[in-house]
Order: sequence, then structure tokens, then C-alpha cells
Amino acid sequence: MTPKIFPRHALGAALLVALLSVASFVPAAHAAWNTNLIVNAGAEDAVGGDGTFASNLPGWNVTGELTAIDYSLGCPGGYPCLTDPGPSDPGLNHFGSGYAASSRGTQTIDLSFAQGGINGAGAYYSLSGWLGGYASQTDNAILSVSFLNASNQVIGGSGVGPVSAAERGNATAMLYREATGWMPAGTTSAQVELLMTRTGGTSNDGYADNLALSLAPANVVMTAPGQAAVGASFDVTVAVMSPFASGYSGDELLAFGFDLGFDPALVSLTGVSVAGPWDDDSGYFSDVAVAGSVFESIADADQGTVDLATLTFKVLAEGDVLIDVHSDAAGNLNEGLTYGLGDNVDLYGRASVVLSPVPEPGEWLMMSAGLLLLALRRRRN
Amino acid sequence: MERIDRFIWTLQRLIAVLFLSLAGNLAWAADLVPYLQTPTATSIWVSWKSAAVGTPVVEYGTTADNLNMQATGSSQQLAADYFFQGVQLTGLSPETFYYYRIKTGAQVSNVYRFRTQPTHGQTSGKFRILVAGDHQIRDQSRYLTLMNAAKAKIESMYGQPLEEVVNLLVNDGDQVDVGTLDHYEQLHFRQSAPVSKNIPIMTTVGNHEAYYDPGMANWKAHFFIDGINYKGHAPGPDERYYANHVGRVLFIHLDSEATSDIQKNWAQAVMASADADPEVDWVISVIHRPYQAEQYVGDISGWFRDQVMPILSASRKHVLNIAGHHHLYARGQTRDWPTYHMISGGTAWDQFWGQSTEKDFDDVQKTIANWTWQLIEIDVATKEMTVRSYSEAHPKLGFVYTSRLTDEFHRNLNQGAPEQPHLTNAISGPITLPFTFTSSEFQSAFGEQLNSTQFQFSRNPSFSDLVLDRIRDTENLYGDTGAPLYEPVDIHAGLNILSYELPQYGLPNGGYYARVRHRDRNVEWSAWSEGVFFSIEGSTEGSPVLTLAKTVFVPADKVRVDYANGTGNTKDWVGIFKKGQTPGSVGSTKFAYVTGPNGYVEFSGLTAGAEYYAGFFSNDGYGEIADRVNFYVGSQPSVVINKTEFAVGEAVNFNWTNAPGMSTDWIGVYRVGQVPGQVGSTAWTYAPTTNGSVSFPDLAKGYYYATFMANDGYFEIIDRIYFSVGDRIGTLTMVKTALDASEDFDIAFADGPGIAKDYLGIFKLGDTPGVDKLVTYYYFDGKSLGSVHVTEDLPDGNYFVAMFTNDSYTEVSNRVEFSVGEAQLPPPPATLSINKGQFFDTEPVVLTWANTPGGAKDWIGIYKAGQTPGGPDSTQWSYVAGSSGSKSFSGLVAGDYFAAFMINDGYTEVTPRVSFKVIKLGDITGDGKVDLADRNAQRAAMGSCFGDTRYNAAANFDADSCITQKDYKLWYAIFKKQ
Repeated sequence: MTPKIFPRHALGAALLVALLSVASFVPAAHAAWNTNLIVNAGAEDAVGGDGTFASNLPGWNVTGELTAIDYSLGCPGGYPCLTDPGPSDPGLNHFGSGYAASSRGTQTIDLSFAQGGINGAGAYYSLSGWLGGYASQTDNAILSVSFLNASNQVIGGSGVGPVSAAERGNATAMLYREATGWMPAGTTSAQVELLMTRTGGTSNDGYADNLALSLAPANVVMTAPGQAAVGASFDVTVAVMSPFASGYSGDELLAFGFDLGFDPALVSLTGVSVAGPWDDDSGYFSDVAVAGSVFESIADADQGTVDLATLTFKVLAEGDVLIDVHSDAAGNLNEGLTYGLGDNVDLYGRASVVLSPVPEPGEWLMMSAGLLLLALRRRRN
Repeated sequence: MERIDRFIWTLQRLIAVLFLSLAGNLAWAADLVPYLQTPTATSIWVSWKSAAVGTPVVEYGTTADNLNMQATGSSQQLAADYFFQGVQLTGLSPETFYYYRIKTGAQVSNVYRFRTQPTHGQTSGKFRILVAGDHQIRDQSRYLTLMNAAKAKIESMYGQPLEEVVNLLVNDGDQVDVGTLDHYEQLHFRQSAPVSKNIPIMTTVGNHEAYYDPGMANWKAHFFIDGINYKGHAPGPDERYYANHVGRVLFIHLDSEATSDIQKNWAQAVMASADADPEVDWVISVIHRPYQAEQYVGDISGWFRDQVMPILSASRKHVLNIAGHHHLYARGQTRDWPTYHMISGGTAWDQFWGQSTEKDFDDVQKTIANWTWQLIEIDVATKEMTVRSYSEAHPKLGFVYTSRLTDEFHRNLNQGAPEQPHLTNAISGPITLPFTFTSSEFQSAFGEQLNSTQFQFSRNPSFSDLVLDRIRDTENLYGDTGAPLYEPVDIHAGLNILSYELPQYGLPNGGYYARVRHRDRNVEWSAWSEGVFFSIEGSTEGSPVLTLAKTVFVPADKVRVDYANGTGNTKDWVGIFKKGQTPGSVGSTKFAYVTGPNGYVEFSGLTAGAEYYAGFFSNDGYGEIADRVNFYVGSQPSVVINKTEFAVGEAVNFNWTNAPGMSTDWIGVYRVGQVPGQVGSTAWTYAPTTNGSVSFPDLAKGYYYATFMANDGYFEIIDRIYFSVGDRIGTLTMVKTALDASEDFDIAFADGPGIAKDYLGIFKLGDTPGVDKLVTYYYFDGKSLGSVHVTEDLPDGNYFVAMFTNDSYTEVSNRVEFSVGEAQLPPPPATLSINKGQFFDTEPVVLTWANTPGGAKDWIGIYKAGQTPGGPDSTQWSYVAGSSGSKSFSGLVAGDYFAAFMINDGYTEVTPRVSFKVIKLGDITGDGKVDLADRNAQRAAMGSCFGDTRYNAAANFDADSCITQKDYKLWYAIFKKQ
């Protein structure tokens, strides 16, 4: 899977850097792995208004008229109601955007807690939110995140939205949108931006609620050759690290399932071999790439790793390929690690392989000649 | 004028405008400036804003040097430094000039003058109203400039100060951009200052007043409306609408932003009072959003147009509707009532031709994209109203017009209608087109001139079946000349509206009636002429129509659009637009002119993966003369269903290939008879890949079809695939099942297969369809929902009715038994039923009985399979009360059982037995153990869902419809616990 990256052009990056230099830094109060890193992610931290602008979004740096709207106060004025399609746990408020043509909220999240993972085995992010608009109007909301390095330069990013009026069935609604991917190495902070855009009329009718950015550390070790030649095949072993670490001590492993991400223009998956003692269940599922289960179970023996599978790829073209393992245990009951007692745990891991061209005949001759010369010199000595 | 002269001329005016604006700003900054409002013949409100607290005082008198009277009022503190002062002067003399000055603390204004209003009994003199609105721009002084220009023009025309000429100003709303104090002060009050100290201003709620003003608090604080009351009709909630009687004019200020039946009913009551009021000659309505607009088409008040205007114009006193919202001038006449409507203009955000969706409407005579104001003059004695509109600026040129008179219209209530015209054509036989119908000359006994004609063509002499209805005015200002001068264009210049040419192919062959009437410049229509019959030969055979041979075109195909019965105009054209586009607001994707009334045009190069429509347009315009035809360009998928008849609970599987692969293409499942887009689908899935499959595991019993639709829309790009789930799907009901002899009755049906030859068949009770004789039958046009009314007399007896499909004896519904005449239906059979056939030993077994004798000692016994009631004891038993009900049995161990319903403490069974199985929780194989074999059985079902062949209900522990790793986790817990 390749996360959507934007914006990349220099002007955009320069503007963002300039903006960051004046924006106040909002530390995430509860920054930790597998938690929502966005502060006031549901616009619930202050009293919501009726749709007109009020400065009631603590935790957000607001330009334009981004504001929290109370569902019950805004609803009579044409803003989303609790009966409109939206999150199942909407709380009292949602994000709205007053009458400004463009309303924007940002917050910068310190990721120092995750540096080991980001620059080590990897950190997998999930950016999500309920985004929408009003009836058939095309006012909209976009949630994006920019990944910044220690010099506050944008080195990656992702976004969700906008949700079109057609996607909403031309009805007032908010729909769930999510983007996932690997956080670039070198990321030290993330700037989340919620942008509401008015495309017509006088009020800005982009809406959003229940935003989330979370980060999960890689827990899968993938062993792959550093390099492989075009036309050759190579194996990647997949093993979960410390499955019985804190919280799962004494538990049992019953099953696993994960999806794969890679560039099919560079490599093709030619084989999957599920590791023992797992039984290979991959063929039972149409929506899971690799799955296995075991009976009776794999018990806690303080294993450093537990092998899951070996993947065999064939190299199709030269380049650098990132092969990743990921899962969505919340959305698919056959993904992640299934324990006997504890909750399922998602699987995240990645490996890079340099795919090199096949050496040409001339290069083989040059190399052979060199080896011959070396051999002759050694014999003379 | 040479270009350099124009430049200097323009520069001079810009400097003048700048000077006036600065002067206005400086004056506002330095002085207390009064704002007069809510006038009557004997009172007026004087209001102003001050930065400091203090009791508001008005000193006044009838001469400038003797302000011998004083009144005090109250002050509202609206912000720390914002005090709004209001003093009502009462006991004044009608139509009298008063000098006055205002005081707050030590601050004192200059001395100004106003005139009180005439009494309602006024019988002579002139009553003049200045009209303006739509300021909305706080940081410029456009409206200030407009007010200065209006004041200067009026004083120049009459040679008198403003207050000696004009009675009041009516504002049509959007006097602020947002309803904050800052905008009221810096925009509305500051820029109204040139007139507000001399004439009262009565204003109207626009959409912008409501922004940033919750509860309309600032609106209510600034305007003294709550005291206005016409004949007991008080203002509406938050003072957003009101009726104000001044002199012999009733102004009805309406609220187009919070429309309601309450407001409409209020307007109806007000109008009823006004119509009966001998002191009201004129009713002028004011509403912010207009009755009609030729730019930003559709941005009007549909509520006012459709619901309120008919109420107001039911009275001939309602002569004029004033509106704003569009920042231009427009004027027209309602098609039937003698009522003008007008958009005042104002000076808000630039609005010009070519900016928006535009359309020429026949109830708008002129649209001029200028910044304008109007002066209404009413001659009280002659009952004549004259309205003149003055242009000051064009949005692209600025203030260059210097009060140019751009429109004038009038209404005289004492005048009658023009003479009845007649068609002069002598028609003795069929005519061929083109043919020109000609009206007699316009004649008026009141010296009026012709303004409009209306030609109507109908298929019947009562003219209730119109095929053509054209109102044309002597002038029709629509559009402008563009740069550099942007002068209005009269698209009716040179047109003789007394004749109307039916163009070649303008109507299909057939017989018609024609008639004409005339409208004068006093908005009065003549009577209709007598209708004249004529028949057309040699024209087309029907109405214009577009047709397509198919609705899905692969990208390489040419899209052929056939047209027929066109007008033959060489400038008629067929345009291709993408779905959702509005012709005129966007150009066509492709277009081609037609050649003749019949033919075809072809289009290629249309982008794949999109839905389009073809429209038939007349004469290089966007008027459509035929229904649109929709089509899709892209791959046409092949969708295959695994079979067409499914048992309930069986998965319905589809495979598709060659699909467009768009992310929002989808497959929807609907019940037969439903139309996509009108109702939600029963089930659906996106089909975002070229090839794929989908399984719908849990469709309820019914007749369905599946279809493939593009781009989150409802355009079907395959033929529908029909299938059924369950048998005897249809439902029949009869309200009454014991019919008298010869009694008519209705049979309602639902969920039919939707096949044309489906029918309701009536048999004698006990007979077998297909074997015994069909008593009678009724087709119902293949509907899936409806009813059949039976008038046929059936002989006395017992019958049943059922639905049969496609002229067969295949029953597709329940049976309804009924009796006719003396016959009586036998009692319904007693039944015992169970909700499923297999239970875990941890869950209750629920049995339901009906139509049983209802004895107190009736009972249900649970026996192991193979046992006989009366032999070994039952495993469990229970008395059951009543002739219907349900009972739970718990604690049954694994095994095969049956339930029997017996009566009166005996072993006489009155219902068929029901069998069921109880299995040990976790014992998926049913071998009595929970072990590896069960794990393997569950694993074999892993990934399957209800309806799949691999699905095993005994392996499902989480009550969803699929076997997942979570079920394994739950099974494993059972395994471990045993």
C-alpha cells in the first residue's frame, strides 16, 4: 500500500514551514501508541454553538471560522442533526465552519514518544474522520496530516475527503473515511489540518466529526534479502514479535490473518507458506491475504518471535520495493492476531528490497576477466 | 465620445464619488446622525447610535429657530460603547414639517427637518416612496454614493428638499452583510445618512440580516416595528414581517428567509383586511427574494411566487411587489394578475450578464444589470401610480450614469381594460406552416398603449389543453452589449407582437384553436378573442422527440441520437451534457445542429465511465423542445447470477466481468416493481473492479431484480436480472372473507412477480389448481402491488383465491379462503410451529401454537425422537393456555426430539408434530463431544456466510451471519471450559 502524499511542491512546503513558524505548538495531551493523537477530536471540549462562529475549539489553531456546533442547536438551522447519517457516537457537537469561504483548524502533534518505532521497525498510522456536507451543495471537509522532520520540513502526508454530494446521496450527512500507511522515517511531528471549503452560497457547509490519528508500532519482523535481481525469486519470512508481551502474558494464540502491500509492477507474489504449527486457512477467506489457525493453541513460552508465514516473490522490474504486512482487526474479524482471552492485536511490518537489473553479458565478461587477473597474480606470488 | 474624453469624464465622476464618500464618512464620524423610522400622520420614531450613555432627547418645533418642544426616550446598551437611542414623537400634525435636533448627554446634533405622513383619509396630493436596498458591502461606500445620488436627483427634479418631495424610503433588505452591530453602524446607518435624517426608512429582512444575529436581537433593537399594528395584525415573530399603513398605502413587508404557513396565513388575513379597507387604495408588498429573476435562475422565493403572490394579487389593490437579493434592476408583470414585480437593484456585490445561469422569462420585461433606485409617485386623487427607475452605476464601469432614467411604468386604478381583439386570419381549410396569425389592432378607451400580447394555441376550444402559450412585450431588455459600454439590449426590437408566426414544423399535424389578447401599459388585459379553429397539414406527425437505439455505448461506438418532429429550424441543435449539468450554465460536451425535422446526429469521443444525456434545443438557445434521453459511455458489464430461484437463507451470488471498474459503480438489488432512485435498494455493493463477485446471503422472501448502476447514480447499464427468494412469495389479503351473495369485494396483493400474465385465480375450497376447474380469474397488468375489485357474482359456496404466475398454475402467494352467501368457511386448522430446527443446549426452544381448542388442560409434550406419547414419559411438558400462544422449554440435553400438542390431559394430538434437534454447545459435528473433529468442522466452514454451501450454523457462536476467527475463539473457550 502506498499512502497518498501531498502536497509535495516546494511552494506548498515553504508556506507550511512559514505557517508552522508562527503557529502555536499544541502538544497532544495523551500521545502514546494506539491512542487518538488528535486533541479535541470530536469538538466536544467546549460548548457548541448554533452554527455562527464562536471561538470554541480548544486545542485547534483556527483560521476562518472553524467552530464547534451543537447538534441540537445547529439542527434547526439546517446543520446536521443526530438523525442524519454520521458517527454512531457523535457526542454533543460536530465541526462546522461559519460563513467563511475557507475555514481551517490545525494542531501539531509531538511524536517524540514514537521515535524508536518510526526510525526503527516502522510505525503504521491511521487517519480517519467522519466528513460531509449539506444536501446537494458541494461545500466540503478535508482532513489531512503532514509529517514533519526535525527541521519542520514536510516529508510526507496523507488525507481523507472530500466526501462528494453524490457520495452523500445529495443528503446532509457525514461519512467515514480512513487512510492508512507507514510514517516516513525521520518524522518527529505531525500537523493535522481540518479544512472546510465553501463552494457556493454564503454559509460554509463542510462538516466533520470524530477525527482520529493513531500510530501503531511495527510488531512484525520481516526478513528479506537486501537485493534481488529481475527475474529471480526471493522469500520474505513473517514473524510476530513478542506476542506474549505485557497484557498477553499467559494467553494463547489461536489464529492470525493479514493483508499485504507491495507494488505489483515490481514484484509478484508467487507463493505463501504458512509456518508450522499453524494450519493454512488463507484459502478460506476472500478478503484476507494470509491466514492461519492452530489447535489446540500456541501457548506462552516467552517466545521472542512466532513465525507466521513465508512469502515468495518474483522480481518483475528494477526498483526499490516496500513489502508490508498490515491488518484491520476492528474492521475484519479474520485479521490480526486472535488470542484465547485477550483482544485481537493488529499486525504491522515491512521490509525493503532493492531490485537490481540482471547483469549484462559484457559485465559478466569484465568481471570474469578481473577474477582471472587476480588469480594469475596470486599464482605468481 | 472619444476614448480620452471618456477617460476624463469617468475620472471626474470617480473623484466626485470619492469626495462624496469621504464627506459622508467624516460627517458620520463627527456627528450624531438621526435615523427616522416608523412614521404615521401624527408620530415618528427618531433613533440614533451614540458611543456614550445618556438620556436621549429630541428637541423639535415647526420652525428652525424655535425648537420649543422636547421628548425623551430610552437607550438600549447593545455593547460597551454602543447605545441605540430611540425617541418617539407623538401628537404631531399630519403632513407638517418639523425641525428637530437630537441630544445624548452633551452631544447635540445639527437641526434637521422631516415631514409627517398624510392621514388615511387623504384625498389629494402626491405620495412618493424612494426604494433601495442590498447594501451588503461594509468597507466601500457604494450605497452611500447611491443615496447621495438619489437625493441630489430628486431635489434637482423637484427643486425642493428631499423631505418636501418624498414621504418615506422602503428598503428591500440585505442592508448589512452580517447582522452585527458593526455592520448596522458602519454600513446601514452610515450609508443611509444622506436621507435618514429627513425621511423615515422602513426596512425588510434579507438573508444577510439573519447572519450572526441569533434571535434577530440586533434587528429588533434597531427597528421599532413591534408597535406597528394594522387592523389587529401584529408583526410576526422577531418582528420579521409586518404590515404598515401609511397614507392610503399598505406596505406588507414579508420575510423570505423563514417562510411558513403561519406567515402565509397572516398575509392572507392582512390582505383580506386591506381589500375591505376603504382607507387603503394601494397595497405594495416588499420581500427580499424576488418573484422572478433572469440571472441566477431559480434564486427566488418559490414560496412567495407559488403561495403568497396568488393570495395578495387576488385583490386588485396589490399593484406592486418590490424585491432585492439580486444586485440589478428588473421589472415585469405577473402573467395574469394586474401586478408589477420589481427588483430594486442596490449596490451589493457585482452581478452582471454572463456570470450565472440566465434565462429570458416572459413575466420579466426588462433586466438591467445596473445599480439603481426607484421613485414611486402616487397621485392620490387620480389613483395613478408611476414608478421610475434610475441607474447610477454598472458593476464593470462604476458610477457613470448620473441618475439615468432606465424604466418607467404606471398603474391607474380607475381605468378599464383594452378592447377585445380578434384574429384577422380568414381560415377556410387546412393550413401549412409557416403560418402567421394576426391580431386586430390594439384599442383602448383610456388612451393607453399596447404593452403585451398573448397568443394561445390549444387542442380544445376551452383552451385547457394548451400546446403553445406566448406572452411577448413590446420591449424585452435581456443581456447587454458587452464591453465597453454594457448597454441593455432589447431583444424584441423590431418585433411586431400583434402577429405570431407558427414556424414550419412548429406544431404537429392536427386540429387546433388559436386566440389572442392584449395588455396595455396599465397592466390590464383585454378579454380573450374568440377562438379560431384551424388544422395543420404537411407538418410533423407528433411532438419533438429524441430516441436512442441503446443506452450504453462502448467508448469506440458513435453515439447516434435520432430526432423526430423537430421544428426544422437550422439553428435547432442536439446537445450532449454530462448528468447533472444544466444547459446554459455550462456548455455542452458535444453538440450538432439538426437538418430538417427528422434525422439523426452522431457523436464520438465522449469520455468513458460517465453518464450523459442528449437534449433537443431550439434556435441556438437552451429552450428544450423534447424530453431528454440518457445514456452511458463505458464498458458494459456482463453480470451472471448463479441461478434464478433461491430458497430463503440461500446466498444469491453474482459474478461480473468487463465492468467499467469505477470506484462508485454498484450493483443494487430491488424488489420487482420498485424503481432505483425512488426507493432505497434492498441490498447493494460497490463493484469497483473490472471483474468480481458478490454474495447477498440474507435476502428476505421476495421477487427481486439486480441491476448494475454507474457512478453512485441510478442509471442502469445492464438488463435487469430477475430472481426470486423463497416460494409463495406474494401476499393476498381480503378485508372481509364472509361475503354476502352478490357482494363486491377487493383482493389486495403485494410482492407479485411482476409478469404481465400473472393472475388471481379463484377455486372452490378443496379443489386443486391445474386439476380442478378454475372458477374465475383476474389479470392485474403484471403489477407487483395493487388490488383487484371483483364485481362478478359468485355462487354461494366456499372458495380460495391465490396468485398464479405467467398463465400457469404455479401458485406464488398465500391462499385466502372466503365464503359467499349462506356458506360458512370451515374453522382454520390447529398448528404448532417452531422457529428453527436446531438448538444449542444452552438456549430455549420456543414453540408456538394457533387455532387450538384452548382448553385449560391442553398441553405440549416434548418427546425424544421415536417415542410415542402415552408410552414413555415426555422429556418435558407444559399446559398451554388459550387457543394461541407460545411457550419456551429449556434444559433439554443434546438429542433429537419432537413436540406434540395434545388436549384435555390426554394424548389426542390436534396438530402435526414438529421435530427439532438439540446439540451440545460446541459440538458442531453432533457426536456428543467437543473436540478436534468440531474444530475441523468449524475450520471447514471458516470464511463462509449464511447461504453459502460451506456455511454451518452450528459453528456460528457470535450471532452474526458468517464463520470467522472470532467464532473459533468462542468455540475454543467452550472447548477449554468443558
